Amino acid sequence: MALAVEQECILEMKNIHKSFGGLKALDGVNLDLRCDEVIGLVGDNAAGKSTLMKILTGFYHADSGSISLDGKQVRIDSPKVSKRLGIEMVYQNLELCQNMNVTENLFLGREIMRDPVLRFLKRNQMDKKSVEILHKLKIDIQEPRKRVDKLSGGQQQAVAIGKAVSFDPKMLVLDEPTANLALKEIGKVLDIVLQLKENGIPAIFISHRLDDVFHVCDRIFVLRGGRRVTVKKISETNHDEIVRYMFLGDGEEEPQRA
Amino acid sequence: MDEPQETGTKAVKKAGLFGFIRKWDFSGEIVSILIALIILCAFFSLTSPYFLTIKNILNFTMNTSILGIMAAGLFIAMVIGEIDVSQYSILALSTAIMVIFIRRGMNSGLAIVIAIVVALVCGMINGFSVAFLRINPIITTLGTMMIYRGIAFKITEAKALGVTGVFFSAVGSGRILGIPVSVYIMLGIYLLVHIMLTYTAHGKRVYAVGGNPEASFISGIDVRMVRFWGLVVSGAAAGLAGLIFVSQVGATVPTAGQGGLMDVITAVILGGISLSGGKGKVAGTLIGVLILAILSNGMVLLSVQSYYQTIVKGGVILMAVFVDSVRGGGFK
Amino acid sequence: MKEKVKKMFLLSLCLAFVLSTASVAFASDRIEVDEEDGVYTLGINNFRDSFEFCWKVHQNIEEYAEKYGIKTIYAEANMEPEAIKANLDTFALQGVDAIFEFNWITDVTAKFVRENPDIVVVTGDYIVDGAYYFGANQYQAGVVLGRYLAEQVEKRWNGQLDAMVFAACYQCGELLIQRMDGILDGYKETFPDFPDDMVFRFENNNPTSQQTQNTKQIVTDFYTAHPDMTHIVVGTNNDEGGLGAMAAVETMGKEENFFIVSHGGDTPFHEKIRAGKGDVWIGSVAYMPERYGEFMIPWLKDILDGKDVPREMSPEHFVLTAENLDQYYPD
Repeated sequence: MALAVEQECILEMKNIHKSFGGLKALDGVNLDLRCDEVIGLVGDNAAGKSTLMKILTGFYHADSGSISLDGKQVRIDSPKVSKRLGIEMVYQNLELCQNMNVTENLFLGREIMRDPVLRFLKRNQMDKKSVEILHKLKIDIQEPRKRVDKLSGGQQQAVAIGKAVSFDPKMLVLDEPTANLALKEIGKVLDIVLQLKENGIPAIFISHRLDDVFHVCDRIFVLRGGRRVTVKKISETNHDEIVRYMFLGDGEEEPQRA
Repeated sequence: MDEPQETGTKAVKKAGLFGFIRKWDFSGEIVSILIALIILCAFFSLTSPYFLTIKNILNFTMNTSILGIMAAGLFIAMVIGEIDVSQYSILALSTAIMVIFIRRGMNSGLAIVIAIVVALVCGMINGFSVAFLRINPIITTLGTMMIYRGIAFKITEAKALGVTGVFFSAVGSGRILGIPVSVYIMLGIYLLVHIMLTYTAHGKRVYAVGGNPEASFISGIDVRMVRFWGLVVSGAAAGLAGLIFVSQVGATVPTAGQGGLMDVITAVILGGISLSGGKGKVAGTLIGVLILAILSNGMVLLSVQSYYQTIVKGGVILMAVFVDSVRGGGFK
Repeated sequence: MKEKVKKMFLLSLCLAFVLSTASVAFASDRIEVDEEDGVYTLGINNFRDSFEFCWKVHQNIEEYAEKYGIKTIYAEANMEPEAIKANLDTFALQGVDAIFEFNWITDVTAKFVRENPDIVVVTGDYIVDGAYYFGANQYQAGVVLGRYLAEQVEKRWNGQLDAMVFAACYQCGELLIQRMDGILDGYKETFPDFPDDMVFRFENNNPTSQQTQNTKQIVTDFYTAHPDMTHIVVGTNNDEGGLGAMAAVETMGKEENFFIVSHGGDTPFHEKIRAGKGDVWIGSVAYMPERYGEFMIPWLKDILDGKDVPREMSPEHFVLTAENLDQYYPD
């Protein structure tokens, strides 16, 4: 965790503006992610966190601003492009198919097939790989053919994260990964996030639970009303200060205001 | 025809029927309707001396192959979360066109190909409307049901038109090892569907789109195309069933199936599909088809008044939907 | 545990369903097929009992079958080709000697007749090669009605007719169409120059329960579009349609401008005649469904006994009117 040394930026979102009709959702937001860190993205409802992430993952297009990956400017037109660029997201409502098993969910859309036409699956190979993926994240799920709706909330979250990392992404976006989880499970999920960092996958961690943010993150970005209010190193701030920023907005304003 | 058994260390080993059921996924549904099927068979074999004869069993399985093939196609559409009430109309239209061409001197083989193409086109129209124009599948297929049927009436002038030929005799009356050809075709279709759904990526995407279309989309699956093909398959099944129909009945009949569309849906629901999509085994549909066939056959053997038949069929539908809702939400 | 309870519950549910289905079957009349020598068995493959005409035919056949010692097995096919075939196959399986087929789809029955030459098949009201025929000659019935209509138009309207409106189930198949074509042809025997562009044909749909309302709408709409016409004939393929036409005419208050003719000679017609509407609903050609058994069963017995009898038998068609109703259907 070499926070004192400036590491190379892997992601840079500059001056992102987005409006929906008359509503200004993002007003010149900047965000950067370095290759060895987990950053927290916090803010009240309608602060713009989801919108910003949806732009990053290709669901929305920014009205103006730029996105760069590894120093190169990129255009993210769709979720498919976002994935291809190595940006994976774990969604708030998990986006797992409850009617399918662990392996099937991990490989959904990217199955290992014997042939491209009939698309017969290499089921045993996929099962083996599933176990490997989960093992790498130190997730304890022994039966890859167990249906996902029979897993606990924490285990399902683990599978969702496993799915996101299974194809060696450049970075991960985690949207409220610990919401709706029991205390015991939260700890497990946070361990996975730290494991991810150890494995060299930086992440953006969105959460309302500041405890969790302070536990796993290196830096914290605060949004309010579509603007970035502040960015702080975790070691240089505390809960109360962050809460103040979230709800009162004291702090640096973005250069271009409406 | 179920998922392979779990090899987890925590599998509960209880003796007897319940332990057997407990180890399987999904099997609760299949086992319960299988038991219903067995009990029905037992009942009719006790009350009619003709029921449990090979001839009768072959008869009703052969006669139900039309419904059976359509149900297999509808099953796929319903797993995806769609529905198709236009199947019988597609059957009527595709067979009408085929028979008219044959009667005008066209080679049978070519006419049969045209029939399948017509069925595919009808399915594509349904699929396009639902998947790309985003029209509700019930409304779409209700509309096309009437359009296809209307066209069939127009071109046949509302008359049944007879046809003969080697192909139709072979499929309609032919037997291999004593079993009617149409039964082989029906079973073959079910096997194909099972293999496709269990062992191929196509099948997994069918379940995925039915279970969680958002997750499927995010995973890079073209949800629209899956929905599109679901209705194409359903239409194709109707076309294939149409060939069997003409072979068995000896004609195209423009009024075919006007009362029968509920039977196809009933068979699929009875077989354990979830009405919201994403769940179900095609083997269940086959059992559902057989249950309906046995009910009809048994009631004819016992000379049961048609009013009772209607009541029983209605009861079956209610039962199937009720069981589906219990499975889906009752205990959760 | 919950899983087990759920599965047990489902199992018992299915069991309960099967038992209740079974008990319904028990509650009905069950006829066991007897293999006694000398006792013939007749399979009746009806359209459906909820259709009055077919119900009457069914009842009368059962009555006379019993009188002549013929056992019957009954099934309905609702004009569904698959069901027709399945029922016929099942009858054959049960060893019937004869079948009365009453679903009017030629090809299905023709195939069965070809494949089962040992079973005497009698088709009701439609003709199939190789089968015996009993029943109406639909076209001829229409002709008889058309002739009577011509007579009335000449007598009461001095031969003036502005339009002939047919409201019928054209999608029900060729036999229904023949009924209506027969009326026109019978009429044209007297008035050969009646122009074709004054004949209007409208679809009034299945099921029968909607035909009345649909016919009423058709007649009302037609008159609305042609208010200048003073002499209009409405022809329907059955009495349910005739009832709808009558309702339209009564509602519009145009009884002096209409004649209604129909096929069937059934209860709806009787009731309207007895209500004094015989001047408007001038006739319905009788099919006498309540006497089908009376004519058919003795003839069938002769066939089964190997006697030399004609392959066709028809009741005579005549037009029921206000004048002769009491003669055939005393109040």
